[in-house]
Amino acid sequence: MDRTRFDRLVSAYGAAPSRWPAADREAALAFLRDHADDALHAQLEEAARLDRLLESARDLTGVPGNLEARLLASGPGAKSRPGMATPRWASMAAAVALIGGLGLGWSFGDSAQPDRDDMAIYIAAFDSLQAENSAWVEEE
Amino acid sequence: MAQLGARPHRAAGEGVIAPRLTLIAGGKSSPPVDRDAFPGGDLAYARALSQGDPAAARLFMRRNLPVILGLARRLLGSEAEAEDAAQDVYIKVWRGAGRWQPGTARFDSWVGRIAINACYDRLRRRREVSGEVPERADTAPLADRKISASQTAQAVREAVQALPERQRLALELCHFQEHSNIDAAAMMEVSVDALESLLARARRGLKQALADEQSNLLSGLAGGAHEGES
Repeated sequence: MDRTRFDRLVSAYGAAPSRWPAADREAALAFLRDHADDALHAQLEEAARLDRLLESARDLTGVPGNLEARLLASGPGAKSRPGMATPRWASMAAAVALIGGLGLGWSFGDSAQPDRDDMAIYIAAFDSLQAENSAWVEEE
Repeated sequence: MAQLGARPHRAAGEGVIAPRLTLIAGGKSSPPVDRDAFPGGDLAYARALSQGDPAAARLFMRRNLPVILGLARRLLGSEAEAEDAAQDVYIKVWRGAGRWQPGTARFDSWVGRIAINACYDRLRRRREVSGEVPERADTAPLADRKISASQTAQAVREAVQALPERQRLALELCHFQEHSNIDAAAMMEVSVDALESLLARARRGLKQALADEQSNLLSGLAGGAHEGES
C-alpha cells in the first residue's frame, strides 16, 4: 500500500474502511496508522462528509406490495394475456402442428386435384369472361 | 451500514496519528444471512427458476428483486418505469436461467447484468423517442436558510441523478447496494480498475455539485436528527 493506492481507495470508496475492498483493507489501515498526516486527515474528513450526504440519499422505498404479485403473474404458470411471455412448450406445439399439417397435405394432396372435366369447365368459363372484358374495354 | 464513526485522532503520548474507527452496527460486518440460499446452490436455483418452481420464484422476489428495483430506480429515475423494468428482468431471467452455468459470473451478478442491460435499453429507447439528453439537475446553491433532512436527501438524490449513467450505476452498486468491487465490476462488465475510476469520478462530481451547499446540507442532516429526537 502506498499513498497513491490509498488516495485511490478513499477517492473511490469513501472514508469508511468497511467499504474498502477486503483485499486492501488491512494494508490500508496499516498505512493509515503509519503515515497519517494532516493532509490525509483532511482527505478522510472530506470523504466522510460526502459519505454522510450519500447516506441521506439512500433509497428506503423497498419493494411495493403489489409488484411481487405482478411479477409472479407475468412469469411461468401464469395464464396467457397480451404482452406476456409465451410458455416454453408453445413453440414445440406450433412445430408439431406445422409438421402434422404438412404431412396431411402431402398425403392427401393427389385426391384434392380437380379432374380433367372440371378443369375444362373452369378454362371455358374464364375464357368467356376474358372475351367479355375485352369487348367492354373496346367499347369505351 | 458500517461507517467511519469518528475521525482519526492524534493519540496522546504518541508521535503518530492513529485512526480511531468505530463501526456502527448493521453493516457488512454482520454474519451472512443464509435464508437467501437455495438448497443445492446457485445452479439448482437457476434451474428451478427456469422451470417455474414456486419456491425459487418466491426466493427471487426476496433475494434479487430489491437489487433489481434499486438499480432501476437509480438509473431510470421513475418508479413506474423501474417496476416495468423489474418485470422485464424477471421474464428474461426465467427464460434464460436454464442456460446459466456457474464459473463465469455468480448467478446474482448475472441477474444484475440483465437488470443493467434492461435499464440501458429503456434509457436508449427514451432518448430515441424524445431526443432527450440526460439533464443535469439544477445544482444552484440552496438559499442560505435552514433546510430539513428531507430537503438534504432530495438535493443529494438530484445530484446523484445528474451524474452520467455509468458513474451513477457504479455508485448504486458499490455504495448503496454494497456489492463487492469484484461483483460490481462483473455486473458492469468492466475491470475493477475501471470501476474504481467511475466511482472516483462520481464522488468528485458530487463533491463539485454539492460544494456550495455542503455545510448547509450537513446542517440539514443534523437538524433532521434533532427533529427526530424531539
